[in-house]
Amino acid sequence: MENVKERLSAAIAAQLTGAPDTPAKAELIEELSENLFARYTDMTTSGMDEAAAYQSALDDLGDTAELVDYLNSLEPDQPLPGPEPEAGPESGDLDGLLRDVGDIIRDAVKAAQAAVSAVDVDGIVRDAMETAKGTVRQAQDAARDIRDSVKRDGYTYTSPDGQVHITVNPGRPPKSPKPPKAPVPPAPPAPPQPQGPDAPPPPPPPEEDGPGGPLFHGKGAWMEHLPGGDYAFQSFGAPLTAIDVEVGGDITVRADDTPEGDVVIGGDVDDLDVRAENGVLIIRQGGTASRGFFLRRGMRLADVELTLPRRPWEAIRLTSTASGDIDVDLKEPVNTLEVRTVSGEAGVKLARCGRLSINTVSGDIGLTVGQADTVEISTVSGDMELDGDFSSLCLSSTSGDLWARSGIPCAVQCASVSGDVELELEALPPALEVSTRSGDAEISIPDGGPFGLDFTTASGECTSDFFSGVLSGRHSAFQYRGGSEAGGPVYHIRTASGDCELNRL
Amino acid sequence: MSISADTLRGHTDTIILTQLLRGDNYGYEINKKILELTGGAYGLKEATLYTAFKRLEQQGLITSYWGDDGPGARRRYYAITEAGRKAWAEGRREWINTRVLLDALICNCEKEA
Repeated sequence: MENVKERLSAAIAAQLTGAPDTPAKAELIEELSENLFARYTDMTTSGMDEAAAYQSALDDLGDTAELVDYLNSLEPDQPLPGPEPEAGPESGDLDGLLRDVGDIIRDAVKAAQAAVSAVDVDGIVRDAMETAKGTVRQAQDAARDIRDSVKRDGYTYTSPDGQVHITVNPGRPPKSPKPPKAPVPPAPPAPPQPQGPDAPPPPPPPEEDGPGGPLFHGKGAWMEHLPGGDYAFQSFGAPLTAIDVEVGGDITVRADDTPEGDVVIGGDVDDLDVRAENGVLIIRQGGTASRGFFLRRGMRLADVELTLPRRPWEAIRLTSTASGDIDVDLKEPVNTLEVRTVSGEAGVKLARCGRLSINTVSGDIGLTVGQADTVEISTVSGDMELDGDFSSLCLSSTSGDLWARSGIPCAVQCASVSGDVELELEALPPALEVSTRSGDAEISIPDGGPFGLDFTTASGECTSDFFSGVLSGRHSAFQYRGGSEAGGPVYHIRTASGDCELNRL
Repeated sequence: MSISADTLRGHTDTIILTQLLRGDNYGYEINKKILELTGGAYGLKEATLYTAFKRLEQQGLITSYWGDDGPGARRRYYAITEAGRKAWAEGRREWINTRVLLDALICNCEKEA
């Protein structure tokens, strides 16, 4: 059996030969071949002959001239993705080791590709397993060499633009007392974050010999290895006002008891790249070069546990790129909070938030917030439960059910395909727009004044204890006077086959 | 079908944004949904779809990220941005205006006669 995905990938690559070999091109080929293969699988599953399905999937590619133009419009000098970083000016022998890891992995990938294109299925599985085992062993050996080299000689890396400067184990100085919590050195009048390649070297960080783990110094910041494996992160220049985390695993964010102190980073700390830029603490999967190979390909997922000083935060952005759960529990206001995960669940507890957005593909969403201004939440198949005082809610779900309660007047815009919608609005909303296809909608509002109802449906019905009878038919309208003159906001509810209940709270 | 295909092509971006309003999704599922909604009468070629994705991404109307859909499947998901929602509302309004105009110009002739 030939590997269809590989063949599709090769066929797509052949159509894109007019574009340079860049990471963008490699990603585009991967994305397109994944989709054409999904189409091929659908067609063969539904009984189509394999050869015909392959041809049909390939025909669906269409005219690639525009894609070639797009790829040509990108930066021309982007290299193909490879596991080894570019040699830094002071990287010495370590870069040779890193290149070795790259070579090992490239050879292994070639061998794995050859195994996959072999003829018998058992052979493919056996060869792939052996190749993978061998790769892991070789990479582990290389990682040990790198670790020993770093322990012995230290390692310094400065990015070509001078923005990132990392020193690991700079000569293992003798242990010194913990530096003071106040920013060190005191902020001079000069800009705290110099830009460009001519930027002066970063201030010498205070040294601390951790209990075995490497000590990382990001530019303008230092990290102290705490007993138990966590790191305390402190910024020298601009005080930290924002957090930006993007990893594959779980993310947990908690508040410390006091407003003072450092950000404490726990979880899979050895798998993380941590740096501070212009007051933003940035955490990514990465760690050492050998770990980075597995992390970038989703073979390892790094978890992050953050404890933040108990003070307001300007922006917090948390992304789990795979199946990680995201859990946030903060007592102080956050101006902007963005939470994204794929199949993991998102649980957010907040006192106050300006703008809040949560997005999952299949993970459930739970939100409890004291007060939030603008809230945007979307999911494909996860359920959502939202509770708080919201000024504005914009919700969308494909098949997940949706429940929301607001204690203050809240403008609601809500769209669902097959998920049910349940809204408990304790104050008359200034605007309400609900649309579902087959999902039912149950909306409760107080008897607090006049409003109009505009109900559009194909086969659904609308009942209410604000009026007797049933609204059905393509389009119907109702005006409730609420003991005063007619008027007030007009609420729009649309369904295809779903029913609607509008009830008094 | 060629005339309607031409008409539809002019609204590719809005069609994609409409699908993303329902939540993040990846290319194949979006195209499958479009085929399903049109009873199989209209679908986008992969190259057209991805050119549109890249165009929308460059305009800041959508963002994308790699999702992990189990062993052997790594898919790029697309998500609509706030600017994308505004562009969708504009595209939808534009289409409704066009539809009203064409209805007036084409569908009402018999009544007038």
